[in-house]
Amino acid sequence: MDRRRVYTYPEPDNISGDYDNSQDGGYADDAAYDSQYVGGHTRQDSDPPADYELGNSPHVRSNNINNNNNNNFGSVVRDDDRYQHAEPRYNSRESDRHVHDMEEGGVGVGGGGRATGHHYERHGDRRESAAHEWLRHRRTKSQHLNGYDFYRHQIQYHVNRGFQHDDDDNKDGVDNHYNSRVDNDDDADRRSVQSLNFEDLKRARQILATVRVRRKSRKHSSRKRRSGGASSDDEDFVDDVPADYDDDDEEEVGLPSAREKMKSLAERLVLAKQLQSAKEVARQYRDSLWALDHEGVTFSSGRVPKKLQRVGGTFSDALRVLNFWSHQFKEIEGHFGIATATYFRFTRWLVKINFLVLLLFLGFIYIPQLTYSTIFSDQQPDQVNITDSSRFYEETFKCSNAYSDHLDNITRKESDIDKFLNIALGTGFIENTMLFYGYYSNLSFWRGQDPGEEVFGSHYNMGLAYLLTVGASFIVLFLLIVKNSSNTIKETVMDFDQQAFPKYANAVFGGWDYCINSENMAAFKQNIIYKEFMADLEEIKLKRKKQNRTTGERSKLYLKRFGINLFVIALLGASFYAIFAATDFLLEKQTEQLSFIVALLIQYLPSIIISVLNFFIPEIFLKLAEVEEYSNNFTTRITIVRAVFLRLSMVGVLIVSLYYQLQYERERTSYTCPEEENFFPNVTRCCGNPMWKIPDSPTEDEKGTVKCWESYVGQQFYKLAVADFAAVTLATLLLKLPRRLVHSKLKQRVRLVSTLGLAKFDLPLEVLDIVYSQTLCWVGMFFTPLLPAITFVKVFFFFFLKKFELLFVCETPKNAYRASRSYSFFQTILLVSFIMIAGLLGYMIGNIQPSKSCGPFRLYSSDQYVMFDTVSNQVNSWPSTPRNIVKYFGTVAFFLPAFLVLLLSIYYYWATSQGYKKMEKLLKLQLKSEAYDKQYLLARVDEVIKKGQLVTHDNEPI
Amino acid sequence: MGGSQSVFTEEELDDYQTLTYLSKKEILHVHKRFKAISPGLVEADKNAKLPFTKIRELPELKVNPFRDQICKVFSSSGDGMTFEDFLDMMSVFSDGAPKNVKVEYAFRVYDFDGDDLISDEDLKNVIECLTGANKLTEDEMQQLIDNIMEEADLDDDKTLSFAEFEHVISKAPDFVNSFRIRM
Repeated sequence: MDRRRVYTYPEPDNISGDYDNSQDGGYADDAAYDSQYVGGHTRQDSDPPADYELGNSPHVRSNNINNNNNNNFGSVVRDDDRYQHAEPRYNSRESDRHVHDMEEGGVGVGGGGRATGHHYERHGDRRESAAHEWLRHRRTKSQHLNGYDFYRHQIQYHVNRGFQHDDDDNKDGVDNHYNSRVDNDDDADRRSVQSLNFEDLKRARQILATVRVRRKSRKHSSRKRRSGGASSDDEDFVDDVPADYDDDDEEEVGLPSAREKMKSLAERLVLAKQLQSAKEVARQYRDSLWALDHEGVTFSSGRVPKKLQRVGGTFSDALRVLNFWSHQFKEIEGHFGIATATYFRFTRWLVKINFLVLLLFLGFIYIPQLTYSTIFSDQQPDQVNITDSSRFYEETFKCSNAYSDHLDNITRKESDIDKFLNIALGTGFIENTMLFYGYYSNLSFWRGQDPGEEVFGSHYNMGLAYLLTVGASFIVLFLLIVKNSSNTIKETVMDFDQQAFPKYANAVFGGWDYCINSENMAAFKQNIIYKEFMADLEEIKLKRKKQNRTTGERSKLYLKRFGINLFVIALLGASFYAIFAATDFLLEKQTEQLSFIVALLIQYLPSIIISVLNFFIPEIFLKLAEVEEYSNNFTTRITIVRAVFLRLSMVGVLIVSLYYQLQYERERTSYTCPEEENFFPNVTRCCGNPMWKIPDSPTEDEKGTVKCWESYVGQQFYKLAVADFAAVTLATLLLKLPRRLVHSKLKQRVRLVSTLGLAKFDLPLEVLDIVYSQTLCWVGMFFTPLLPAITFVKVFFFFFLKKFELLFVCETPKNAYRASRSYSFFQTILLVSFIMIAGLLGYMIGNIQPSKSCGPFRLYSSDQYVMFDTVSNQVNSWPSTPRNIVKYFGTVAFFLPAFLVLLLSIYYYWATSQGYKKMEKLLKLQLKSEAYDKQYLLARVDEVIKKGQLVTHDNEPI
Repeated sequence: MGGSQSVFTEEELDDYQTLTYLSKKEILHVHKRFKAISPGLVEADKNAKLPFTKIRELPELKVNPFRDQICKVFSSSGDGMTFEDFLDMMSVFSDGAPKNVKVEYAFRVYDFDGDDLISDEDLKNVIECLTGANKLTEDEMQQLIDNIMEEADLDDDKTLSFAEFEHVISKAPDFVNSFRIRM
């Protein structure tokens, strides 16, 4: 054995060490110590770190020796000093190593690497404590050893004591002796370890228990002693904080802890005063704290982020006055706990992102559109570019006129009732406002006097701006969603990995919600936790039952589940068909003259159907899932998944049916198209609108025609958004609130009322509601540019509506939803719906011809014009170099390699994660075997104690 | 800040701010709450030691089944809480405190007998606190404890050391969210 592998703890002496001097060195020591600690255990053949060799760590001799304490393993000295020392010369590292040798030979498991898992943990833990007690890290190293080490050293000390005296002055001699000794011991140890059986383990546990009891009693006695006379507390500060110092030493007599206790604030303050500067303590305190790897997720390290945080803290202090959210949350968390508060956190986050999108739209779409005629030149009354005199310009001109004539016709005939109807439906005069796509001009306007002369810098292409703003909003939204879910993504991953998730420990240690401050909720929470425990226990029984199922029972159950799944699919299919049929019906009935109410009903038919289905179908799912005999968790989960599927697919179905009717179906029927027939007699798409109809007589109502399909689509989403808003508000005010009132009045008298109870606040379904609102906003954003503003108001309103509902109307959620799980789940739903919508919109922008009669894309540049051409045209107008660069990104030459690289990196990360998983399993096995070693050694300790062989170095029995 | 500014000197506030995870405004707010517990005593001495019975009047602690443990853990003298103890407590429970600090104190809170190990007995106490008036039977309790030990007790010694506790907490995402008191 190489002498250099025998490391010592370079810890400054508590008694004689110079405090000030060691401040800088202390940290270097720390680092050196760290690497040695790990190095020592993993037994790598590396030299001691330079820090240690050169560092100014004072020679250490544990005060324990002087105290005649039996912590003799604490006598740590540097190599040079060690052998000039008379008593006891046991370097703990050496004995430690020795034990390792024994174990290695004897147990034959784990080997050299075994220490990594367990010891690393202890090591990390030590570092963390150091953060809080930066001073104490130079205490006696016995603190770094847990019971296992302690007894290992004890054994080693006594086992080796006999021969150790001979070789005091000769280092190599000691080593040799050790080696031979190890060899001699090996056989015996191997035998006994191999014969270690269950009985031994049980015994070991008993011993552990006795050791613990002994420690406790010692602690008591020391405490008593301390309260008797604490006069020696006022020692020099060089000796560290003395008040509890002796006490700690006493504590370590029993079973030393691996951990260092944190200092209380008062102690930290005392330290700060002693150092004359609180900042100094804080700096050290934080340095060590922030240098820690916070589970690898915190990216900030070092002092700068902390400083920034401080500055930010000052700012947020100032802002807090304005910030009413925190007050809202205190109330919600206090009354209903954090799981419910996550719903509100989620809502608040939605308010924020909607506000951001609103700002983008305001800056690049609303304001330019509003101001073009006042600030910019107003010489183009038709909102059309006149610069292009081609065929496309003329078509656009005619189509636009036809559309505005059509709108004028409708608006002129409007009565007051019609006006109200139009507000509800988004038709008539409302259609010709900023609410809808059709109103926006395609104008590129200039600041100059002469519209033909483009002045550089003041050119604004509305179509391009429209497209880019929507695109930018989607990118910003995507980044925000990803950023927000990255906080929770870890938990989500752990959620999927059911085996690794400590369900019971989480329920117990993370169970109590410290935010709760209302007594009702506290009692309620205890009830919930109790139920959760019972459900978990029930689940274990269920699992056993599952294993005991006979084949007959099993096949019956599977058949039942299969049937139910079929039924669910049928139910979903029927719902989808209902929406599809309603949309179809709506288009057909549009032509007919109907009374006010019927017209409103028919127009709102798809929205009403969607709302009604959303109300009832999840309830049916819930009942179905109960029959299926899944585990509790899975029941909730599958119900939610089905409900989500229903919700989001409904929007999908609506889009598909709109597409089918507006773009696909009508393409086959031809209409006369006066606006374009001068150019193409056989056009089937009139002004880009397949449903363009011309009334047979001028008196006939023009209601049946769609002259701007984008606005038409926009109207559908506008109606959905309004219906959703109304449905949620009315459900609260007209259903749940009366129910509450009736319940409080009649629950004593009428049985039915008390059994029905109050409305429930079912968290996942509520979240689904709000995700649905958000989905509507995103999908309709392109066609109804004011929708972000509407959604912003809506979500903001929902926050308070739901709070009101929780506080005064509903029952607190009965089910115990895990806060983190639900939050990450909401995020996932949102992300999925977002990606779906982005895909759909992308398809539309790249493939479908826009209307010629309205909107910012009305002026075509070719027969195959799609909206995305605005961007291509812009790029084409650039000078060649940037144009070519941009174009290169669209070629296969770029995409194929990029795609391959992406695939490979995904594969690489997947493979790495698999490797880590395997590693984790192996490390767990190692830990287990380590634990068996420990128990075996404890058994040995007991043996030694029983035989009375264990003595201190003063030959006094323990 | 205004009137409450006079309670502490700027220097004291600086010290408190650097040594806790709170901002100055939050510290003053904490003091306001501390004062609200017992206006008379705190008026006389801003760092007065309030007995546990008074501290327990704080709404969050009043309903907290672990209130006795919390008082014990955060009291530096063992028979009451000074403002500094109280501030320390609020700092640990604040949003700004890092997870490892919270874990450290949580371990002490859940370690009822104070032996630096969470044993069966400690777990039993924790579960009893959590379920309150609802009592689990002996068998159920044992089953639950066994399950927890199975998840968390890595070295099979039937107790949870701090390292094991920390390890299992790092996998339990609810902890950081729940170990928190809003000011």
